[in-house]
Amino acid sequence: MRVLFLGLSSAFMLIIFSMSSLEAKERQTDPDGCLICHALEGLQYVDKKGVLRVASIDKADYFSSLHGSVPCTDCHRVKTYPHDVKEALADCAGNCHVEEPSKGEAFTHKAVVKEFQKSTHGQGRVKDFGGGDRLDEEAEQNPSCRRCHSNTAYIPEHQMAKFKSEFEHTNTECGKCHLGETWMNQFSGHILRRLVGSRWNKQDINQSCTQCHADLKRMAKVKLEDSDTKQKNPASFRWQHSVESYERTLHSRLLEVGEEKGASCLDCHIQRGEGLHGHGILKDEHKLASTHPDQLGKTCGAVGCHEYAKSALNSGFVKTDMHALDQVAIPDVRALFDPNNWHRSWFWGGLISLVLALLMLLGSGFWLLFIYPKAKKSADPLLGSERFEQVMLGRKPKKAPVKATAAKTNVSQKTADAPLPSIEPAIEVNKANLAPTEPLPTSSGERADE
Amino acid sequence: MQAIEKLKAIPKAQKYRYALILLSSISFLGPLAYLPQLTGNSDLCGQLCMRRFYLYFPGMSVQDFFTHVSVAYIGVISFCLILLTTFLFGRLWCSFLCPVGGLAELGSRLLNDRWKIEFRSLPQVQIRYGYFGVYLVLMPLLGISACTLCNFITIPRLIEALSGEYRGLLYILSSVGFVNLGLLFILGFFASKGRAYCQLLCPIGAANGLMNRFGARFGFTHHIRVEKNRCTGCNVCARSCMCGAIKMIDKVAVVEQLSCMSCHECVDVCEWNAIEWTTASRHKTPKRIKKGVEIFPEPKWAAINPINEPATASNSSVGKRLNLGRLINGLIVSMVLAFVLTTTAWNVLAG
Repeated sequence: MRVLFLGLSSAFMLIIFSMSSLEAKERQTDPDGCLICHALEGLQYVDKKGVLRVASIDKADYFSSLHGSVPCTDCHRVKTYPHDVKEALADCAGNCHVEEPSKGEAFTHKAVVKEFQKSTHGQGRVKDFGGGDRLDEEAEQNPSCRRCHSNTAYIPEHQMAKFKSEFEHTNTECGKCHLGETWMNQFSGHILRRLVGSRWNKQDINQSCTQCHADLKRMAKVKLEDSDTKQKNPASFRWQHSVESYERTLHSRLLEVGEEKGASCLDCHIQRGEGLHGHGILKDEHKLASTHPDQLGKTCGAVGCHEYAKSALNSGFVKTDMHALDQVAIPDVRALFDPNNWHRSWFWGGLISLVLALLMLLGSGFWLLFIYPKAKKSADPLLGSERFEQVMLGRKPKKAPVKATAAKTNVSQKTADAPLPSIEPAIEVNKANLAPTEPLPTSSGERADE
Repeated sequence: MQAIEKLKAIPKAQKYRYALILLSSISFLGPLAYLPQLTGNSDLCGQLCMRRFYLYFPGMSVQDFFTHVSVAYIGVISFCLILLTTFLFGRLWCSFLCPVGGLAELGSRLLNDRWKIEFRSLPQVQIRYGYFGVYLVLMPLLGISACTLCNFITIPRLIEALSGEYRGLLYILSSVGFVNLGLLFILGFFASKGRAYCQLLCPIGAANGLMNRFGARFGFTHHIRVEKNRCTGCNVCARSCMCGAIKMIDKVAVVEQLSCMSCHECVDVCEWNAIEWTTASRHKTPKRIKKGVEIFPEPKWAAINPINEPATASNSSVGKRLNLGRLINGLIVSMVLAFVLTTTAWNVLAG
């Protein structure tokens, strides 16, 4: 790819000198002079595809970032100037600028990268870990490192107070053993950041997942490899709507209202343990996956979560569906008529309720036309009123059915008509009052007013 | 016109109760749901959940219980408040405020009785506490999330679905929505008096009922109490009782405090002032006796009637007979206890 750099003029050089004196907060001195050009505002070029590319770096942003103290060439291994774009790609798996004081070895992300490559996100990566063209990346199914690790501000604002208070006493606590300015400057921050709690809270973690996974259009394009046939099939409806179904769970709802006891995506979807770095998200069917049925007891039973889930008696509990489609709204009314959806519960639910509604409609019409005009206007419930009379009111069961109905209508009338209930037992009143009278269209409301 | 007549016929206290239920439905349920929204929730789930924290999971530690409590702390506080008011005044939450049961009741009262099913004569105490036991210990174990059948989720969601766009409406067609809609119709709208869900399945109602029964043991608490000397046995109260808590035994109304909601309707319909929402008689004033007959005796308001003991010497054989209901109650309690004990022992032994 050909790169069009803007020419550097002597006038520019003058401006740069004056600018560098204005920048007070530099954390590295830019030994390779990259910022001579890249700190310029408006350093941009048009690439092969005709897209305008901005190559200028905001110094304030960069210096306050996690890598603000690192010279550019530690990651972008550029040797000659002006350089080619490819030459400048950073490799996350390469050796790093940081030297670990305990071992004296250069730090590397290799272990993380290895784990990531085995994970479901690392499948089928072409560009390796260089990152590459962001536009190409958009089209790519699998994410690169920087989609999640965007090298944002070193310490997020809501953690700043805690970080500062921890940082205050590093000299007294850590400084006893780890002597030396370099260590203090380079590592205490690194370590503290992990101590203070991850840079991200759970809501931030979810956001990094949902920026892709909640995008239904993007998810509709995803093809997943079948582990048996090695064929690539479109992702299932359940898979595509995983964020939506998750949002209905208590795990998500607690996070939504800022209750940190909820569970983020990563809380369940990464394996924890020795030598793991939290990058190995695996498919459910993978034996080592944290969401594989065999591992669920361990995953759900994590400290501070459902610790009782480790007990074998809770094997039913851990299989509770956390991505239940029942709670997910149907994406489109047309989905109802799609034969692919005909095995779904809501299709059958709809069908059954339609049949029931039709039956009720037809039945009501039939009842209104043919049964109602002839029917005895009784206000007793359809089912169980006889039992109610016997069990709750202590009425003796009637043997002859004709007599029973006659008595029943009388009772309902009695309570509706008679303003003063008789002190005598009700049965005797009925016996004395068996003569059938005109039934009234009584209802519960009228009965209650007496 | 007939409808207005019917509305006029509702006893005054009941009109007030219906209005209160409507008000609480508006405040608790969607689309407004402004009370839950005060805590950042859109419905009665999450931090407001009152129905999950007391579930028993085998191998559960005290720490786990407190985790459950802290997650749903607003729900726990409201649950404790409900129990406290129940102890002192009867189940006022259930009858006057609960939007879930109340809405079903109001819906049912709009319908004609002849379409309904009478659930009140079922052995509701046994069914309710049998299900409550299953809900407490067995359902968590089997992995049937208590939330699936929770009407505190589904009623708000049904209301939400009916007040939203068509996609929300289709929630009703999901298996969870469908089952719960069925429950709402069969145990709500088409149940006689509309409180069958509360009687048979509601876990809060079950816990609340136990507290109500406990509170009724004390004289200073307000509960529905009967003065049996005034009761004429006219059974109007038993007919109007929406919970089926009043049973006529020996032609005297007897209130089952495990089921009674203190909705006050029996008091409104009683012509003889034989049933009252009150404390037990406090004044030990001497009775006036004229020619050996007591005049204006202090009423003996009794909340708990000795149902299973012989009322008189003559029918003492009835009291000695095996009471199936009490036997089943004992079985339920002992089975739940045995389950908890064996699972705890199993976990200890298995390490």
